[in-house]
Amino acid sequence: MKKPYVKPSISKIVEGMPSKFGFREVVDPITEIDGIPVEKLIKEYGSPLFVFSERTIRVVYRQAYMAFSTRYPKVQFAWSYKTNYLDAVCRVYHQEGAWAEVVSGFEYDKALRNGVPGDKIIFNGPDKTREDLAKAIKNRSLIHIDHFDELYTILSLTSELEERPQVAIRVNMDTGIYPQWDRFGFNYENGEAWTAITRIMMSDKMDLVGLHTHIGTYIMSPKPYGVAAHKLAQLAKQIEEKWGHRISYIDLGGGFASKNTLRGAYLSGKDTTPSFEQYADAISQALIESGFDSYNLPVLFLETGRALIDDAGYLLGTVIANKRLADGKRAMIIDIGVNLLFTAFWYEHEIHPAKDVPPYLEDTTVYGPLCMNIDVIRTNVKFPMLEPGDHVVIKRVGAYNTTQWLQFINMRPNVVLIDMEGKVHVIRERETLETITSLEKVPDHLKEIGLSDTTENN
Amino acid sequence: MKDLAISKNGFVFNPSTGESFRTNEVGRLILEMLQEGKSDEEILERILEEYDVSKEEAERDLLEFLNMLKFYNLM
Repeated sequence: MKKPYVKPSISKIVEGMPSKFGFREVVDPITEIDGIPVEKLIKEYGSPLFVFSERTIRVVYRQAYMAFSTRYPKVQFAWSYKTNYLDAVCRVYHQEGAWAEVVSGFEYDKALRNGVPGDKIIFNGPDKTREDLAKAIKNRSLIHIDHFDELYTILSLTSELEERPQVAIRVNMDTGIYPQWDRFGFNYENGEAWTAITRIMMSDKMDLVGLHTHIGTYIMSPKPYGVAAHKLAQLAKQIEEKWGHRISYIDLGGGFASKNTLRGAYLSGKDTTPSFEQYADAISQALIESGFDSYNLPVLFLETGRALIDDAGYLLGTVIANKRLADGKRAMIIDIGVNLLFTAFWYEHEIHPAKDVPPYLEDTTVYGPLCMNIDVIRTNVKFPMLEPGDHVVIKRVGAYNTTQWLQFINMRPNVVLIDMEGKVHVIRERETLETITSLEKVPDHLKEIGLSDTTENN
Repeated sequence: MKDLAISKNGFVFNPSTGESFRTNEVGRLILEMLQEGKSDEEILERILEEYDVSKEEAERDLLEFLNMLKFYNLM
């Protein structure tokens, strides 16, 4: 009986260089997702493969909703389409009660297609065409005005349309964070926001129903949200004092961090990311203390995307090869490139083997399959030895990857959803050569390329 | 190579440089056979006799391991 084989390895012990805080260095395998073996998923649906857990989507959504609704009586979430606009994913959020938050005509039409009523769509963003705006006005969608040119376009449309536009303005402000986002909306401190509000109120051609802000992205502290909520509440109160007009909602946007670790961060995101309760505390406290009549509190809208979906998404892949770099360091090539895992540019994604492996770990750089130097999934991650054909699981990939992914060098893979009963559904089919070429057209003079197969003549 | 102190639990000490290394069971076997002056072919044969592994995989891993030893100036 022969002994089980483990690849021979040797690594230098460097004195005075313990792991960060002496953490135990263990890479646990992820062998299944919601009870479905990773091997089975890859066998049936191919590799790479995006996997979404409907259970995680619903559980996390309910945690977030609970955190806010137990602290503030009127809360409404709107699902941020740009974070993940796969129809199946959006519909899970809509079933949970979330409205739609869109930033383009394309996303707007997708929300309508998903059955979201027009008056439950929030239309954000700097790029809304005249046609987009006309459609949104007719559907009584909530239009969040980004700039004066948009405001005047809406004003000009009011002479053509019967419906009164339901609008809010996007306000940017100093909340104590750096960098301060000032490219979207109207500034609070320099009075621009007030000018826009005045223009809307004086026109008497549209209904100012809300105030919106989105202070930034991946905000690791709840405090700026408290500042933002306070400033919007003050604006709302000024509007009420001056015009006797009551704003029906205050929208704090999104930007809550997920538990991913940002590149270069010293501590793990799991330890540093605020909980939904902490964000909710800061926001609801600021609103409640703003002195609104308690019977007429504005509805609190939230458009958080990343913090809701990141945990529900996994990316499964396969090891293509192992090699040694010029400095002796280990490199592993997998079939997941940065074109699929766009967020690899921002995060130190957790990567796990998909089977039990010997506990020996070695500093490894994980490369994608693209013929590009930038195609790096992780640098210097302690990782066990895997062989070509073995599988890996990358965690927390639910946000932005299936919207910002690129079809590049290869086709994009299947995306599946594991439902509440553990049944697997393909929610986006893998692309084929036909998917790509069906959009291409070859001019007549390029149809014949004139190269003949010379091997036939030999 | 001959001076290397190799412990049973995979701790390797190079007295000429003061450097320490960690290796695993198969790594230790290779190091010990190298110290005995065995050739690459003999080492490969021994691995195939003792362990459940294909020739291709063992050969590839041995090559990589020997490269690592060169990189660490151990041979």
